[in-house]
Amino acid sequence: MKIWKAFVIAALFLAAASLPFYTGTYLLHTIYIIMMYMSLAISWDMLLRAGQLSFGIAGLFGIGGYAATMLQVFTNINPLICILFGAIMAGLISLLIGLATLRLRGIYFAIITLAMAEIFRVIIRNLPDTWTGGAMGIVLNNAIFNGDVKQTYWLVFGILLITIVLSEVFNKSRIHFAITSIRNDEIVAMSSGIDIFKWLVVIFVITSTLQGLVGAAYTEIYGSVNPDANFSVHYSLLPLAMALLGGIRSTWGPVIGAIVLGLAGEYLKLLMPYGYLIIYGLIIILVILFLPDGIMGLIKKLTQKK
Amino acid sequence: MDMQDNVILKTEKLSRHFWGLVALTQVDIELKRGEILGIIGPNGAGKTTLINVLTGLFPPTEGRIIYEGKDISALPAHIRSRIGIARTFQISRPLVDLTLLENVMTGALFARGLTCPQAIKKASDVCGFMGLQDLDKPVSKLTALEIKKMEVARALSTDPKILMLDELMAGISSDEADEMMDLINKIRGQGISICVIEHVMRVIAALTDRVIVLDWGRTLAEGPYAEVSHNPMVIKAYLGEDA
Repeated sequence: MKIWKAFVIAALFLAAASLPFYTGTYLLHTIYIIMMYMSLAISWDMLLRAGQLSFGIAGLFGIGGYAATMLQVFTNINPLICILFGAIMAGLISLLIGLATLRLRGIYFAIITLAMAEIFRVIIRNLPDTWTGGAMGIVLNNAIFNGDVKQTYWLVFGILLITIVLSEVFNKSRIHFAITSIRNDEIVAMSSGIDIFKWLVVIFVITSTLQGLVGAAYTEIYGSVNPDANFSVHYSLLPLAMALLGGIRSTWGPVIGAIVLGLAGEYLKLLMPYGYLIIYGLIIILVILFLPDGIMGLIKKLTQKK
Repeated sequence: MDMQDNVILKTEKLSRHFWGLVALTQVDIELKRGEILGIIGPNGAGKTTLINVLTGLFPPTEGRIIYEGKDISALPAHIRSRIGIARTFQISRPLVDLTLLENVMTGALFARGLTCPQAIKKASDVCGFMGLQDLDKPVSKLTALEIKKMEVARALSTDPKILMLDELMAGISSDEADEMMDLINKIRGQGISICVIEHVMRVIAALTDRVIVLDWGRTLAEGPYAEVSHNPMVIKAYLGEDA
């Protein structure tokens, strides 16, 4: 069973890594966009495993993007370093926010994260134009790798791999026991010696750094940022919908959800350019009503019965 | 000096108010090393509040808690767990997304700082001691007795010096209670000081060296159960004025 599983994972990895050699530009582009959402969905789920619901992905996504772009504009160094810088900035800012707000729980923390993205957007928009470009944002001279779609794909694939590995570490190490205890019963967690606040801050910083990393890569790939696009609530809600559809509290649930919803979105976008978000909404409602554990939950149920 | 050393935990004028409500008032208790202390009293007397304050779930409103000669009143719950104060809960609190073994591991992992393999070993040993089997079962499949034992095992996996058992016998049969009492005596045999809250007087009579009677958040009486149970004030507290 274990060997079989390792084989499947190795085959998937090889197939994904070699994809640019036999795939066209359009498909490659579609896939790396889906991979970015996949990373966001997994990182959102990682925080959810500790019992904390975030609506703030867009905030950290945007911070990562702005930090990377601004460093790029001011220093013109290697875009990869700028991406790393964007991730670190998102991590640092989430550390401050986490220290200030992670005493809050449930809906109170969720509302703070929702407000966070909006606050960042307003701050960025109102900073001097020479820093952030104000409402117009910043357009870079060039996209990363001169827009080469293969290299871009490998960059995004690398970020996805980092996310998946971290997510598996979350599921298979002592972190798993800490965050599951916190999610299940904080009083028991404390009584077992778990420093809840410390763990939540660490988890929040790790997941925020990942979201900043994706945001930074996104802006380097498209070569532009602006407050309305990069802090769009879209980046908070779509990954959340993907994780819900695929099945929460696992690595592979968000992966499956991102593939299904990502491909469906791409198809629907062609079918009805303005109406496809309604279909997303419908899918989310139907999943929550009829498939609370998502596609993964359905698979588990079907395989257990046999 | 000898007297002091003999006491592992004591409280000095410990009080806890919840807004206007007084749950504990100026409670002075002592837990001696290696003893089994019973805490009894009518419902609402403040027994669970006492354990909650001692384990750090919330701070005392006034007064101090002295553990091994040090004031621990301000320490948070997770630190108290690490320095050796463990507990179980009146209403069982299993971690529902973990297996039996994993529930027990949490104490070893985080209060003792063991690695995962060490914690598995430790938790298996403790479960063996408690007579628990099928350690990979999800907690949803456990019986009431197994969940109670699991809670004790989880507390023991922190290597405590003090174990506080909040109504461990509630919801289990008389035979099962006998089994549990044997286990508690064995735990005491390992040098752990034990504090039991219990409504089953048969258990209190058989198990405890000493009892403290709480009523309306105050200490009403203290001494061996045989003595205290004949105290007219205690009888009145339990049975009312006309008894």
